[in-house]
Amino acid sequence: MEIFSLKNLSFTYNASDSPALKDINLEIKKGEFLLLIGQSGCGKTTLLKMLKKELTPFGKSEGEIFFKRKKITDYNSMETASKIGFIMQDVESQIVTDKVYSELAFGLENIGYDKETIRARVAEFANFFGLSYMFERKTDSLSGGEKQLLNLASVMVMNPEVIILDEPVSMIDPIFAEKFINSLKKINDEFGTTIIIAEHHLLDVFKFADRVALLEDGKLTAVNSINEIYQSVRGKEIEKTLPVPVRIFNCFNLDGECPVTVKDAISFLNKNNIKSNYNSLNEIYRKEVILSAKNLWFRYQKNSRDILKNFSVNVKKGEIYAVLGENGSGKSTLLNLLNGSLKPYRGKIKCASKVAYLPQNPKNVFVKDNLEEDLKSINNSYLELLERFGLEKYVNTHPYDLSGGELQRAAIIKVLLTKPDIILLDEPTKGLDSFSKKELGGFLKNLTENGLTIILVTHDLEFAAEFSDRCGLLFDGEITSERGAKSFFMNNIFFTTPAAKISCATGGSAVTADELISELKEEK
Amino acid sequence: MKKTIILILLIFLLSSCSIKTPDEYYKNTDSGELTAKISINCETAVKYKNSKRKKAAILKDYKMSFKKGDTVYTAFKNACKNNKIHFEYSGSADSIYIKGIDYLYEFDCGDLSGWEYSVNGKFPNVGCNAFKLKNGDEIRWLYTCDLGADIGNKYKE
Amino acid sequence: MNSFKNLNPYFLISYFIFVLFISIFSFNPIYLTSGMLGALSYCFLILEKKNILKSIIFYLLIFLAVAVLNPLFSHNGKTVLFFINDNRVTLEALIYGAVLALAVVEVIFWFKCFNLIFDSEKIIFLFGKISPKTALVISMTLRFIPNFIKTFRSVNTSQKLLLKNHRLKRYLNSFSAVITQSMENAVITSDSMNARGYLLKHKTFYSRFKFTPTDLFLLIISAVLFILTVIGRTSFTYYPEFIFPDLSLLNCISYFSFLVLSFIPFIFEIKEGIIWKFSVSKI
Repeated sequence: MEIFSLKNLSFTYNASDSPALKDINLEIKKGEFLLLIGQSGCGKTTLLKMLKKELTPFGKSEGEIFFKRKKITDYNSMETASKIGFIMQDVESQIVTDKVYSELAFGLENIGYDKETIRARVAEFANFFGLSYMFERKTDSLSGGEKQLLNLASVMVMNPEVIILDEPVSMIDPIFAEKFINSLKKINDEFGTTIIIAEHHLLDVFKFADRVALLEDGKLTAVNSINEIYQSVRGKEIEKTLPVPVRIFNCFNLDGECPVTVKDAISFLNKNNIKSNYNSLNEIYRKEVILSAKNLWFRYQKNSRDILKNFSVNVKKGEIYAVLGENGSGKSTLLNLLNGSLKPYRGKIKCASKVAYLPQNPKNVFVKDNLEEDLKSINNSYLELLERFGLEKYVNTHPYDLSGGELQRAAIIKVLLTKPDIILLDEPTKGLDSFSKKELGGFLKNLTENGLTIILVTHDLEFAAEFSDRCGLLFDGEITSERGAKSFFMNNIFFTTPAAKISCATGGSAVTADELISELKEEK
Repeated sequence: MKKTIILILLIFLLSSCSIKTPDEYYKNTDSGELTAKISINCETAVKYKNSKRKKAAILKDYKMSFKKGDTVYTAFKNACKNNKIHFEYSGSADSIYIKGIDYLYEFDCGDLSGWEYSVNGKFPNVGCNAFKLKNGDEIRWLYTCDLGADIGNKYKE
Repeated sequence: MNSFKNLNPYFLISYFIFVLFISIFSFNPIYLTSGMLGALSYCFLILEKKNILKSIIFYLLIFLAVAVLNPLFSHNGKTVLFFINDNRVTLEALIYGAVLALAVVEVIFWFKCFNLIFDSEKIIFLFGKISPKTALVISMTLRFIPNFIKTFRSVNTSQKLLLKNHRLKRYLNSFSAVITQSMENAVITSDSMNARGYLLKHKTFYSRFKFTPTDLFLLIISAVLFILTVIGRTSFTYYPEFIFPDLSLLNCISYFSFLVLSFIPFIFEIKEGIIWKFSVSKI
């Protein structure tokens, strides 16, 4: 039985001339795990919001949406509120209340269950999601990953038949992202809940998806199983954003199942006798030290634990240095020490150059209502920079209205205006899609070519592998391993990119997906 | 630095205070060539509902001497001292207001109650330290429960 | 071993109202002393000893200040100690000041206990019974404020690093930026609320508290003790001279009741501690 069926659905926003969705026909079966992919701005969010009556955007829509064979507009809010769950990308703002248990109870309170029912239901789901340990905690004390898991649980307590998720893991760290997707799979398996998810950086999502729907420019161009979807994406920009195993499969016109895990990809390559080239590493070793930190010790309070223990690092002029590490390993603290807003209680930072710092949320550097006014407050050379990086058309835009990637670049431009020698970036790829990440990476490379040094902290391994010059792993308060980016990822066994794992198993030296693909091609 | 300033201020403040024991304070200070008569009466408070006061006259026709240029306040103060009667004032040198006499305070008998004084039957419209006494004046301190209306001081707009 | 804290908020709030009512309105040193001892004994159980000693020194200073300042402003009283600038300093005023100071410090200590016991959850619970909407608003506010402060800090720090502005100007700029950002986020929050059926009206209220027989028992005990305290004729006269209320049987009962009332948290805590020790020894 189909749970959703869309018939000739089109939608045009009130403020826009061209339709955001064009003539979409789609049937979603009950209990299905449907993955929706597409470039940013292709209408994914619009499509997902159309399925949730309470979130339907303002505009003109044509065609029909049926939920369980009945028009969605015929349902009363009571039914749709609980039957259809919705999870958004913004982890933080989705949380309504101050405590975990009250957040879990929120939906049930709205429907009007009595206290005992709520108590039982909340207990059940806290158990199911393994949230009991944080049941009494304040929501703002949770990590990003825990927050998103809480959001999922707070939707699940209402026992929905469908959960719609709009890029739910793009803002959280990879470990929790995996945990989150696994929870989705568990829900799908154990309750038969239909899952409709827009997301495409994660291997796991592809692993679990029954079907993949491709949305291009408001049009649904393909809905197919993983094995067949590759034909539809071949040669398109979207292909590059797919997980490595899928991309490998797409390269070769071979029969068989599309690999979705690293293991599958390796056996696929072995079976078809594809080898990858070993290219020698040509990493540039820069000499001139621009910033050096020696034996730093730091803790927030007298009685708290040390965040940094005997931490030392030398950053060379003109490189992109990536500090990798888990959530809570002290990456952000490190940046605050380097920019001088925190002071170590022991140790010294030697740096004669001007340091600029960009907080995790790039919105936080802007204080004025339009970009021009904001940048003008630093100095007047902003126009040149905006033009150089293709943002001049946004001069009169409110900074918050820029897309994620543009906002990140505009924020970097703002700190560039202070003419720094070093820029510190805190999770610059957070919430960005693959395309924007590539753009940002190129932008950063461009800056270092002009002599700027960049230190960034991230848990985005792919980004670090592709764009950084050197990487250091921050663990237990110090840098435990430090190498040139390529050798860093080649030498790590677990803490590395999927591309590196596959490449390593087939005798190659690639650490990024693009490298891997090109090496494989050469062999063929 | 801050501490020394505070210390100096404190010493200065203390030295400007004159501290007396009760015996020293109540020493007879009757002096001068002119005389006046003082009485203090709280009949209205005795009559006030639920009042615990039994005695209306606190001081009855007390004859005392004073110097030329003394005010009602000086005479009143000395009379109280000589008879060991409690009183409490507020205000500074240019305008002194008597809040309470013999533990009977303003507002003790309602919102309109308090002490007023008359000289020779008239209620002067100035503070008691601004009214200069003449020889033979008769001062009466009266407690009112009604802004003076119950003791013959008609309040005029 | 924080068991008094875990009792039902209904009982806890009634208890505090009883104790504070007597402490504020009685103005009788006997009540105040027993209340003070009750509050202190409980504080000693639940706070770090070092903190209490520090705060005791601080409150002793407050106590002395109030006690000494009162006779300088109030000159009522029959027992004169000495005169300052022809103003009497009396024993009665000094003692009145001391009692006033005792009342102030005692109420502060009870509020200290109140603060420790009444976290946001209990306050929301009390409001939630009156109106689930109010409870939700409080809960949302409690979520909003720390978020707001966090964002403000981040914006302010990046502004500080970017511009050498005047501090006030920077604060104002950052503040308005955080407001704008919060409004943007509020749109998402309201979507998230609507997606979970907020438009159906927020009807019920969930809390983790139950009203147990222990709560009922303690509530009744406290109410009885409170009534016994109130019926005593124990008003104390300070001016112009002390008039002690007589030590009739009724008054003795009243004093004793309040003493017990003040020590309920302490007794309860100790009792739980003993039960715990006992059960541990059995394990």
